[in-house]
Amino acid sequence: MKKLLTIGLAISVLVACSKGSFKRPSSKGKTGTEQATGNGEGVNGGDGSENSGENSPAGLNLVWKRYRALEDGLMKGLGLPKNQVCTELGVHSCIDTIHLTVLGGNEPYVSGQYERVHSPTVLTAVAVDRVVLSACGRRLEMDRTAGTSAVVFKHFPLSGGAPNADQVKAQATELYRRLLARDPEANELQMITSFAGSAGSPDKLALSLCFAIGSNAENIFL
Amino acid sequence: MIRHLWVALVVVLGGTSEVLATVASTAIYCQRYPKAAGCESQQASCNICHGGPPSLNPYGEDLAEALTGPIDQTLLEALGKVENLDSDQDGVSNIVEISNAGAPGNRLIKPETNVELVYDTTLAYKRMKSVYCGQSATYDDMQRLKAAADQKAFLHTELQACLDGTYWRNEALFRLADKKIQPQAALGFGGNVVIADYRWDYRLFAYIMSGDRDARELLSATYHIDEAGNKVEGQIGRQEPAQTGQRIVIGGGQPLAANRRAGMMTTQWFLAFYTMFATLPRNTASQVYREYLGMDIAKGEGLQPVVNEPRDVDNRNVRQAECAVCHSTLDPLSYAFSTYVGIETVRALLFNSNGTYRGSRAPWEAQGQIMGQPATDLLDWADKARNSEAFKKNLAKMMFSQALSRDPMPHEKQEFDLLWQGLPADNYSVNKMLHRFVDTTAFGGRRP
Repeated sequence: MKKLLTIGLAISVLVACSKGSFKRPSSKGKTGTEQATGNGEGVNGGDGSENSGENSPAGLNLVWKRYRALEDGLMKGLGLPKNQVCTELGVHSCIDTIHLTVLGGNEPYVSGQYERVHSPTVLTAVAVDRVVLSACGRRLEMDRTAGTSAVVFKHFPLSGGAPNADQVKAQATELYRRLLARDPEANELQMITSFAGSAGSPDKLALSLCFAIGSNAENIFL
Repeated sequence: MIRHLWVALVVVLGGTSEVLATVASTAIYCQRYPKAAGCESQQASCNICHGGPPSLNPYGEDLAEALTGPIDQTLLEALGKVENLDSDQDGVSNIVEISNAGAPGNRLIKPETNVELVYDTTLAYKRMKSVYCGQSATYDDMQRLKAAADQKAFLHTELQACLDGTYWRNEALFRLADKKIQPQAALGFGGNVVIADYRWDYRLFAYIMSGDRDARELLSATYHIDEAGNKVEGQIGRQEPAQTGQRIVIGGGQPLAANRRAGMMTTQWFLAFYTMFATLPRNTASQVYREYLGMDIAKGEGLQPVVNEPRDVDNRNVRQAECAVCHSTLDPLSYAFSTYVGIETVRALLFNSNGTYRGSRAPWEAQGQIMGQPATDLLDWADKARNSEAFKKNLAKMMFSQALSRDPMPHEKQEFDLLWQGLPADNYSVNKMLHRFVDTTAFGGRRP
């Protein structure tokens, strides 16, 4: 599992570096002009108040895709029912309950959270990774069982020999369309195919692709 | 580092009352810079000098160094001393920032002339789907957008579908109402000590904020919305009987006479929860002022002192100068609420009296003022509130922040002003305002 995560993170970084708009938001090293003009990447930081008037160096012009839209994207993109996306202990919804706050929601009635956080917290990335990996893993198992009727992971066998470059490109294109709503660019496909050979078994490659593309900043910040 | 130590030392040795800002400080600031951001609407607040009180931002630190005595006495002079500095080191001097809707203590906010963005329909569409539909745009969605002969028209058609959808009406608008209603499960319907049923509040809010309805009804509606989404006129009884024992149920329904209602500010929950047992419902008045007019008295916003106030009608010792600076506005603001019951016990158990009107409850009802105008009773108060510029601005700001998770920036001022200024022409429809909003570069702009 640790190896799998490492692979996923590695490919995530690779993909992120291949396209400017993919870059994770950074609070360091931006000029005042970039920040002031809203040309930076990321969303607001600061003290957690939407009305503080103090904006973070992370950029001023991106919109955080919060919990419900993130969940919707995974449900539609991976063809999963709501209760299959992610649960903790198989019972508690990751989106609606366990990780709600750090995914941008709030629970007012019992928890007394009358406001949502206005920017991602330090735990948001962890929660996004958790949810995306869970959804990808669930889809992978469903498709493994479905065999030739697989819905998402259908471009190469999930067990056996390594897939060829065309199969990897087809699978990556499928995931880009499903999770990022666009076709991949040539350099993105090239990077993925060059990585595929070292990704391990076909099912691990499939999961890594799904995780890397689904947890990409492009799927979190608009 | 030396600067930080200096400030800390002064706080410790000099006492906080001399160094830390009072609400009068913002008045002095606005007196010197009437065109500075926030001053035109009396909303200049703590973040001019503070990152988050009590910490100072760079401009606040420079001001603290320039003070030569008690802040209320030497601030005016200190303001002049730091005008030519560039406290936040963003390349623009403090005075230029202050004079051009910048923020002298925030290096991210500069005068509006430095920003250049172009509208991107694709970006706007993705954001629209996320914010108003709670959905991720799909590949098919993007292909349909790309193929549309008129992409803007496509965007607006899809937006309307979102605004009519269940996510917006039953989830997003509910979350927008949380801070206004502040529910507590233990005190609401089905709770252990039921003082009122806040489900009515959520339904009323979502109803008025959707469907092209006049948003001013937030402070004027005389009806309520039942669970099926239908309007209910007149008084509404409890849904579960009054009881004591393991559970206590003294509230429920909407017992206030319709001719005494003013929308969200007179629901049983609002009056019971915010007024509670107070003779003079300051908390209730300040919550309306904060949430529906955008002015938080605790932050020194919206202070409009009334002569000879506070009279301290309920003997709370608020006449002393430190209290009077806010209470000279807050107490007159609260008088009109004083004839509305908060929480009662036996009478509530027997007659469901929480949140009802009782003219004999206090003698100050007709003595109040709101935003410099006399208010003869709460209905008059609400009328002045919902027809004010502050109401319009707050409504626009609320929707702006809901979508973008931030306040408008200086370079967006013109677009933002058009948003709230256009409300009367839209008959105060939030939906129509949102259609205009998604067309702004604030919503769909990106670097050229």
